[in-house]
Amino acid sequence: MRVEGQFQFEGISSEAVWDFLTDANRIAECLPGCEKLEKTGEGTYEMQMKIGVGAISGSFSGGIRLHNLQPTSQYEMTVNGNGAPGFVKGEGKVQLSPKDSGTLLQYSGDVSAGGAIASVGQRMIGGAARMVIDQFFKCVAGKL
Amino acid sequence: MIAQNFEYTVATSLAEAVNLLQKHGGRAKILAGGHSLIPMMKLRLATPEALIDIGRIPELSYVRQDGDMVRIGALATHHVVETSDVVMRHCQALADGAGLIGDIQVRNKGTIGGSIAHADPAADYPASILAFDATIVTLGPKGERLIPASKFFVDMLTTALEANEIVREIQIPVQSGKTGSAYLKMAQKASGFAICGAAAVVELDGSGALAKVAIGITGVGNRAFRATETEKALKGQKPTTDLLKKACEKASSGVIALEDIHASADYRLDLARIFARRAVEAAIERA
Repeated sequence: MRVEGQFQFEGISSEAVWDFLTDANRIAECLPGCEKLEKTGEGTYEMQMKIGVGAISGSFSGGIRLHNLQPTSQYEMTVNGNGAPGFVKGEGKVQLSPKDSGTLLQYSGDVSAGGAIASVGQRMIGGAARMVIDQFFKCVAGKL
Repeated sequence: MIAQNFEYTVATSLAEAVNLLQKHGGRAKILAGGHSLIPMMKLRLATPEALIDIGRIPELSYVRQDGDMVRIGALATHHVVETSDVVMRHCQALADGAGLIGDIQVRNKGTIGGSIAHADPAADYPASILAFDATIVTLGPKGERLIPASKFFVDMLTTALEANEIVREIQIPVQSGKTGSAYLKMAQKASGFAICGAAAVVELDGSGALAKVAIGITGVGNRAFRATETEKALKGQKPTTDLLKKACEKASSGVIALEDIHASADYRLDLARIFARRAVEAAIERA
């Protein structure tokens, strides 16, 4: 499932956005339902989160890997999670560029899932991913 | 699969159900017809610690006309909505939609209140609820609240309902004048869910121009929406074939569409344009 979108951080420099998005502790502050996020190596993190969209919710444990980091302008990200409702995988690219007096963040990637989530929720995965991503960036903007 | 263990309580009144919801602090779910919730629980996509069954509360499955308002109780089943004389006379698009939900077993058990509270992005009702400018009456610890349809569907599976609120009634204003409404959909063959569904409500003036036109679209985006640009382009105009076609080109502008193996995002956006036009045409036909 292709997921892409953008988010404008008003009045916030790309350095500040970059620092936040590459700091495990700060990511954890904003990731919806995040119960644990630990750095396990250079650019790799282990996490546990409870994602809920309406009546559907599930706990996932998995990892995030940030790679191809080009400070303050772009990085790539691989996410995977396993839980009772199935598994989710995501791969994407995040780009930051100065725009007006702030920073424009653009993201694009692919999300896939297997197990029970995929059998009934396939049509909702893209939309649910957008909801979580949007909540995350809104929270980041609020904290910067 | 079998659902995770849960507590089960039968509520004898909505007020009691609200109290029980509060007691469980967001970890309980209301059970009405159970046709969305139970399958999700069996797959363990939903794991509430308690179910509060409101399905046996008497007198919540009414459909009646009350002056210039049609009132539908939250527990009215899709079959009741589909076959109600009042609904067919005053809000036919809603009856069309109810009759197209799942199969007869689903329609005999599933309820209108349960469906809209669940807010599946592909549910049929939201398109008509939006097009009729309905009002959702809810009950919570602080009493009743009236939520306009335009504020009710917030996002995928997400409504303006608070965690301890329950849908009590759906109110639809009776349309006056020369009016008609219709709901049409393209269904996913296996589940019956809408890949795209469009509801249109129109009122024609003496000259045959569209005095009022409202179009609701479901199945396409994270939540149902009104095709406001199309409505603007049609309002006050005589609905010629050319104008309808042109106006409905804007039915899904600005919408981020869902996609799955059954339909790509672009296809859904295109279906929205086509079904908006067909629904308006069908509504005019009935006016």
